[in-house]
Amino acid sequence: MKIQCILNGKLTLIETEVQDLLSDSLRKNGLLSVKNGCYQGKCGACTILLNKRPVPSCLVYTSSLNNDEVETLEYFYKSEDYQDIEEAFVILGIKLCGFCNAGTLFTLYDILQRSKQFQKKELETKIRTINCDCVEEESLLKAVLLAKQIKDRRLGEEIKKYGKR
Amino acid sequence: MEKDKLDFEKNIQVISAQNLEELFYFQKSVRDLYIVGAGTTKEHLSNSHKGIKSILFTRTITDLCQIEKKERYIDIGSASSLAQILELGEKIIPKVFYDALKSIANPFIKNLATIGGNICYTKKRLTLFSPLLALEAGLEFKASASDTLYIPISKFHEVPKGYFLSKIRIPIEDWDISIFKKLGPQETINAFSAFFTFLAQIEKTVVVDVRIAFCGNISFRHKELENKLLGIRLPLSNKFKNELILEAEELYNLRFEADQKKNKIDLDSDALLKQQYLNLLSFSLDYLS
Amino acid sequence: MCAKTQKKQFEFINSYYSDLSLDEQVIALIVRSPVASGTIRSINHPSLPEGYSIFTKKDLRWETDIEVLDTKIPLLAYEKISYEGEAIAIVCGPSIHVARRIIAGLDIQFTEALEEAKNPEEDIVLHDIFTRAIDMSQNKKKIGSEIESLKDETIYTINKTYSTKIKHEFYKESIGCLAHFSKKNLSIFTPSLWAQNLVENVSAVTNIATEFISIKKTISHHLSESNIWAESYIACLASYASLLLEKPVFLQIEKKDEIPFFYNSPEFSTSFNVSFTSEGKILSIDAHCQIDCGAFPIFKEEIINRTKVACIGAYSIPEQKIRVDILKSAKPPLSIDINAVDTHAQFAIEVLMQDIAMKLKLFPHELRLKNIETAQSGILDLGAEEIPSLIETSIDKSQFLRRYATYNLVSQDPELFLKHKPCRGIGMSIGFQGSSFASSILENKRKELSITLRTDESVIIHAHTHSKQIANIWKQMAAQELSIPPEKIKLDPSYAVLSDAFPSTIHRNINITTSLIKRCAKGIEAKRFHEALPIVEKKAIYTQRPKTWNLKKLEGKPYFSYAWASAVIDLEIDSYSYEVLIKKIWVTIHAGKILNREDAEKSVKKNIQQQLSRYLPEESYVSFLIDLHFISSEDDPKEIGSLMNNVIPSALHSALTLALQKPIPQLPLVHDSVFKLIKGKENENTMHS
Repeated sequence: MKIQCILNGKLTLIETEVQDLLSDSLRKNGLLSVKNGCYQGKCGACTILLNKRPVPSCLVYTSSLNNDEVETLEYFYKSEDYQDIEEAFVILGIKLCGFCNAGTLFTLYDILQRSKQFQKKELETKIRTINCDCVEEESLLKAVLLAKQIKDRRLGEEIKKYGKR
Repeated sequence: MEKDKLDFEKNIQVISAQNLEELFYFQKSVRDLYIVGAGTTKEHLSNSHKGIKSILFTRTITDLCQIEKKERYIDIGSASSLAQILELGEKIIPKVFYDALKSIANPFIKNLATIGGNICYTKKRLTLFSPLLALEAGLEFKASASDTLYIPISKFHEVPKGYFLSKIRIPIEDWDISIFKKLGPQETINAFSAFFTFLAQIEKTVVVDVRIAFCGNISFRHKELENKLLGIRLPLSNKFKNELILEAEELYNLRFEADQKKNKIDLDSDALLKQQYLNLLSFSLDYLS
Repeated sequence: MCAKTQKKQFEFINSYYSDLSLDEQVIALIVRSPVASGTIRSINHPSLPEGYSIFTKKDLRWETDIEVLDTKIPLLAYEKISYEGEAIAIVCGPSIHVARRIIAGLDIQFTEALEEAKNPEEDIVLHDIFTRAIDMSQNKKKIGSEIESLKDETIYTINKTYSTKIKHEFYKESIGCLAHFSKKNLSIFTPSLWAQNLVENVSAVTNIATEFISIKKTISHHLSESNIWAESYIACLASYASLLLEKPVFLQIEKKDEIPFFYNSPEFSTSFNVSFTSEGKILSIDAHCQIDCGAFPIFKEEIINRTKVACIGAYSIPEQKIRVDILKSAKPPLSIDINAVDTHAQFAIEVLMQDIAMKLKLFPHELRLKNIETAQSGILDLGAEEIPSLIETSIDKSQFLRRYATYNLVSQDPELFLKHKPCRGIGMSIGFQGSSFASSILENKRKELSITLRTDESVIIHAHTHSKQIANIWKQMAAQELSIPPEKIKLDPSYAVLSDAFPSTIHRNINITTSLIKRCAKGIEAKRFHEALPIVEKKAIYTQRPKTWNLKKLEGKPYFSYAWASAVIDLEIDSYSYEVLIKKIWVTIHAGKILNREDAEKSVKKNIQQQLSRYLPEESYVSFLIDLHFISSEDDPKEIGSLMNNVIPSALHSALTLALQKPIPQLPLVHDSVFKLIKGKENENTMHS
């Protein structure tokens, strides 16, 4: 069967079987930033943005998509939100292993989008969802706070340049 | 085993509905349509659900994702994601419900899983059932635009044939004591998982309302027990509290025996679950002592 | 083999193997035995679709087992099934869904073995008994006279059994590989950390000469968890299928099969019979360790030898009898972290110390200090002289005495137990991580390293590690010695991995390589301004020296180096829900020179978290406090990557024992076990009152 969705900004038909998981379908379509680590939604390696929300694609049946917006890291890498995080990583010397990138980056993205007060406990809970040895919690906490500053600075400059968006 | 799984997989039809009207149409026209939320348990397309010919995911139906807050209750569409509900905040939704939502899985799974899916899971009562039971939530089921069934959650066993869960209505009341506790492994659900909720309203040192709900191997609210507390002047004496605990144990045993005749209950886990229930009841009653 | 040829045969690919694909690639899935023992008579499919194939043992024309040092593991079972789920065939074809359907539709005819009365002794495939009695005439002054004077004292005995069985849970790329046979050449894309073993086995199974096999080394993940033989096994299956089909074959173990069949950690059990005086002097120890290694016990000797050493550890006990049995059972071959082979033995001896201390009403650290072996010639030398300072620091930082006394008082008093909710406990332990075991069958006896100072004044260290932290440490070490910025130092990725007979997880350890780097750097420094560049300096160390280590007598220095640590864990048990809540952990480590404190701390903290999640699998880890203290020195940096494996479990067990005042039957611990222990204690209290 063919399922329609907006994949990385483009209207796409994905060929799938009924029981296919979205993580497998995306990988079949060459989107290898989606990794399969647990098939239980625990590790975050298969995280994608589904309608702008990070979800574990190993828990989504491809056949359940219904004109949803799906974004993988390949698309996210082109965004300004990613650049804010990347800058923070470079400053702090953080390098990801390649397996947890989707989970880590989309977690930080989600925090930057939704957290209002950036309280340590709330941040810790969200960051704890990332199951990887390559970077530990404290570094990621620093990264998200720094990325927020970078983002605020960028938005401030845009406002100065273009007026309020 | 594997053979069954595969025979079953071959002929499944996946149906998409854009809105409620389409959903009603498919409900009527497609035989044995199986309606699920997001399908995060991944059981629907497995051998535990043999005989499913057609499946429909409600996750994308906007009409079922609406949340409406009124003065005395809050209506939550069955396809609302747990994250969506959690974002309303502790001040909008009852504390025990909020605590229960927080304790589920991780934020990514909460972005996907629906409240309807959590309530309708049949193998075991999941996290949200206990607080909703205590809050006396109501469940709205629909077969069509004009055919609606309202079932209090205390009477809910399984989705009535030909209907789907459309809405959950949660009364909003002020509670002086709100306790929710998840028991068992924190990261998964197994035979040792259970959920305890205790609510109490106190006016001028008198208990005016109390709700105690427990969902583990068996799920219940013991109205007899709650009634004993109504009108009691605080603080509770130790003697009264101990008598209440003994009675709670007897009621638990009776309920267990009754349920065991109907369903297969995991005996290994039950001694622990029963003791945890009594412990938490004691802990909650200490608040009244 | 020249370097160019080696380079052609071994290449690093900066990708995960599961992200790779080749044209006309087929997938392969393993078919597993439905029975635990017996014989397969036939495996057929009524109507195999075109493009799909099934291979069984009958299709293997040459070698049918893989060889892992001392053990052979069958690739595909047929005449003899050894455990339920053992691989009996592989199905290959273009679609994974169709392959699954084929497996589901297979007609497997088998004869199940009859149940026979079994002699338990037959399950022991290897055992070793070590006994030692301190020669009184030689040590009369010290130990001999002590024992003589204690003859009239009351001697206590204790009989205890401790067991552990960890379940792994980790999130990584599944085991697998991509093999491609074409025109006489076989390429294997694999994350394997044991290239030589892989190539040798593939060559034996496919009859392809090793010079025609090339390894494309992909990214490895979660190094210490790696099952070092699994990749060789998978590569053999995939390579053989590729040879027959003449197509690329992608074989990846399904997630549900990975842990049960490739990460089956052994069940350890150690029983002790110990005698000691009321003062806490341990007079004799009779330890019996049993390790269930599954159907094909691998690394038996390594496990036995290191377990014996760890059972004695740093303790000076006049009479020692250690028996280690390797048991065979109808389970998959074990997977073991080679860097933590002796974890259970260290755990068992440490919790024994706690039990003895509780029996004698001594403080646990006092008991240890009374029995620590300080370096003496002819006896086991593990650098125990570092231990007293470790223990003192831990005790001091954690206010151990005060907490221990208080918690013990409350837990022991039936009037106070569970009345003062929750139950609290505090436990301490010591442990070591040894690197380069002198009798290891998994390491080169002679380790060498070379460094090149190039004409542009950059430096190449001809070694390779998969760990970024270790790479940084080596670069910093070389940078310091040569007064060159670390940015000018590189590791050589084309290092001759293929000629490396042993898995790279274990032998390229930080301590030895650091020592070699220093020596090479000194050599270069001496030649630097006298000789033309480039300068290549090569040094070697013999880590296995008969003069300094006697395996038979367990005398001398068993490891090239060792790092000691002490841990204290303060916890409470919620007496309503039986949850175990860690309040705080204090860890003190003798780590040698610390080149990067932040990295070291991060690594240790991660290790602690990992250990807790293994031994308390039902708890979620809200942040608890870790107080980490390094006792640094000018010694070379020590290997501490698995050190917490050897201190956290025993400290945890001891804290739980104190809180519950009952022996903990087995770790990991779940709420149900806590509940039963508390109930048991309550019943005891009721009976005594």
